[in-house]
Amino acid sequence: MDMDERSSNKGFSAAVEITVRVSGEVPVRVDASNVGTPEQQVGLTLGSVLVYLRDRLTVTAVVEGWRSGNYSAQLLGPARPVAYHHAGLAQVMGSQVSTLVRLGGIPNVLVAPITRRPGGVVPSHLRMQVGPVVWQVCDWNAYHSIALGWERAARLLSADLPEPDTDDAEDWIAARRS
Amino acid sequence: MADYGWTVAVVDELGVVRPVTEGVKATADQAWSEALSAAESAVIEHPAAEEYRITVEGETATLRPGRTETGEPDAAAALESLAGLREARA
Repeated sequence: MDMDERSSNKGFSAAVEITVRVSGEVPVRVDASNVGTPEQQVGLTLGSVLVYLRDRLTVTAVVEGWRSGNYSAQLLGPARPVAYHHAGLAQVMGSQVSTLVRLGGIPNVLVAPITRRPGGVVPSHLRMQVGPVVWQVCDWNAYHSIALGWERAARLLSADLPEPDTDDAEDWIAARRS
Repeated sequence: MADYGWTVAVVDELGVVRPVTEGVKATADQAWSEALSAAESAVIEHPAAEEYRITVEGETATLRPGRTETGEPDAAAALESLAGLREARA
């Protein structure tokens, strides 16, 4: 059996689509390492999703795509009681990550308003697809908090400063602004 | 019976928006279905577009296609996203 035959027998695994429903202010955390070096990496925790990013172009594409949903997100209005969403939404803590995605290159970004069907259980939401992850954004608060997270990650990956002393990006960003 | 108009437009790298096709259907669901089919054709016919805009009665969906590792527009991923949207609207 030659090399080609062996590799053709190997299986593969790819996350094609992961759906996450979000409502209210989504906890966001940004952890950076080796910023400003070729090994730079930002871990962006958006509620239950942890996204690893290394490239400024990747996150810039996401930020621009996310911004295109701004108007539709405003139409969704503020967060409603969780019961309205009919979908087992639980309060999210920063440490309750259940999905990990590594985004590279230029990901596909699709933004589409979805209206609740009469009698349906899926609430009206903005469908925000970034690569394999689909966020069902149910209100403005969720949209805005995630948007801020992407923007913070973009600022970090756009930096050309040496590695910060701390992994705590909040402190680092505050220090840069002062 | 109300008419539901739809349009599909492409945005080039200079930000110029060019409508490529449009139509009218009797229901919103039919209009979205036809618009999504038209968007799939637009992805194939205008693979270098920066963005595709699908508008049905004032509601707009935007698709910003990704790029493959070689920098080419990732039409396959764009078509998958449109298929996912069609399913979500079903």
